[in-house]
Amino acid sequence: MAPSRRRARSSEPAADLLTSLPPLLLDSILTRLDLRDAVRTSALSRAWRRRWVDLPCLSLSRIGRGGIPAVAVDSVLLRYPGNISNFSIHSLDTHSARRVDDWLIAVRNRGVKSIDLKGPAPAFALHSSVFLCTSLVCLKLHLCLIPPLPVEFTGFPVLKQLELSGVTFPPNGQIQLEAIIKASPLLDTLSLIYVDTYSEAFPGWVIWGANLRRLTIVSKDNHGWQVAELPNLHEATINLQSCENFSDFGGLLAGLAQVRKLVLNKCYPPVLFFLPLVSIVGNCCHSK
Amino acid sequence: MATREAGKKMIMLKSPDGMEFEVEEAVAMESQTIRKMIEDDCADTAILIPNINSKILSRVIEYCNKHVPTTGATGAAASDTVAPAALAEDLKIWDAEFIKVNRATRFNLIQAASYLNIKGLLDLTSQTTIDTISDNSLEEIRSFLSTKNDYLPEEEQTIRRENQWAFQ
Repeated sequence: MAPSRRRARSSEPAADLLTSLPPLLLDSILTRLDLRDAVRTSALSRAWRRRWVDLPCLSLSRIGRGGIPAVAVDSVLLRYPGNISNFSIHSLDTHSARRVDDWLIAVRNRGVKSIDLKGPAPAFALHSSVFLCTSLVCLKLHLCLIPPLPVEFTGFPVLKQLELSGVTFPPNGQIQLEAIIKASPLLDTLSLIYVDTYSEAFPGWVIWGANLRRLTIVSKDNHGWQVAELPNLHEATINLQSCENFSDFGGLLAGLAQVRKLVLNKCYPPVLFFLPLVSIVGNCCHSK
Repeated sequence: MATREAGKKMIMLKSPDGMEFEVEEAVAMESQTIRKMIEDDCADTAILIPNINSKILSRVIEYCNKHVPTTGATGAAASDTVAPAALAEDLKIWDAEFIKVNRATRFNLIQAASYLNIKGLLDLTSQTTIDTISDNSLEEIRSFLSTKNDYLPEEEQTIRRENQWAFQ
């Protein structure tokens, strides 16, 4: 405990080893703190009182049970005017589930680079503003109902990683999924794990990706995937649980001809959201 | 510009306390600030590094020596025989030892890494400081940073109440 806790005589708060660093350098150090630790610094001294509010960006990660409570997210979004680099919910409780729509609208214009949402069961309805976060580099959605694309959707110009698992699209969602992938020109990693697109027919929707390096598809049914030319595809993992014959997927597999590592799996029995021991039907590795 | 036997270009770095350090150009160019000076042909004679004393500058050079990519005639052999993952692991262990310094040295290294623009060293020193803040109580952080708690007790209580979730 500091020996003296009198009010500082000078109006300028006293600097310490960190606050005496140049402001930009201090910003670059403090933005590495997680949110709880950043906010906690406000109690160190007067010089630290509002230092966290002045940071150029903050990360709202691990929202939910055991992490950042919903009330804290509301409080931070209210007090903090800067960018939110990272928005991740690891376990949505019923209270935060009601707030997610407002949070997504709030982070949309805050330069958010990464969104990772894991909904509770049963799946919750996602707000469409997630599709208007144009600065996203990484988007992971787990266990949610995907809304139709808003009319303002212009694409994800810098998106590199798209991971969808246990999500449900609106009817004929394959057209929407195709549009999202096509509008993400820098996409490097695509994972479609138990994605339900409610397709009535197999229109042969196409996965595009001039920059796609990793592709993972895990599914119970054939969703009619086709792949366009994927010149940079390095690794593909295809896990089809209930298909009798991989030849049904000739169109898909033919498109993967240039891949350097291909893993084909069949799972028995399906255990939702775990990839258990698999019997490997085919596993070929060839390098050019 | 000085040259030495193996044909490697050497650069002279001078600290403000008058010490001179002769280093390979490739090592000096781990610093983006020095790289720019060399590329702009501003490095014909010795480069004076302001505000970084010889003790800190020698540690910075030690870091750059360890982290300079092993390419070229002598480096090729090393990178051919050692797997990249093993090299990275070796560097991590070396970094962990390197950063075991007193706090004054650590803060001097942060400033040096920032001025000289050496990303790896800035990441290492910043992260170590962040870990100290994350792993310790407010009292311990104040003691580490030499922060004087100038709050009145009731003011500190108010701040804790405002963001109660962060202090639980």
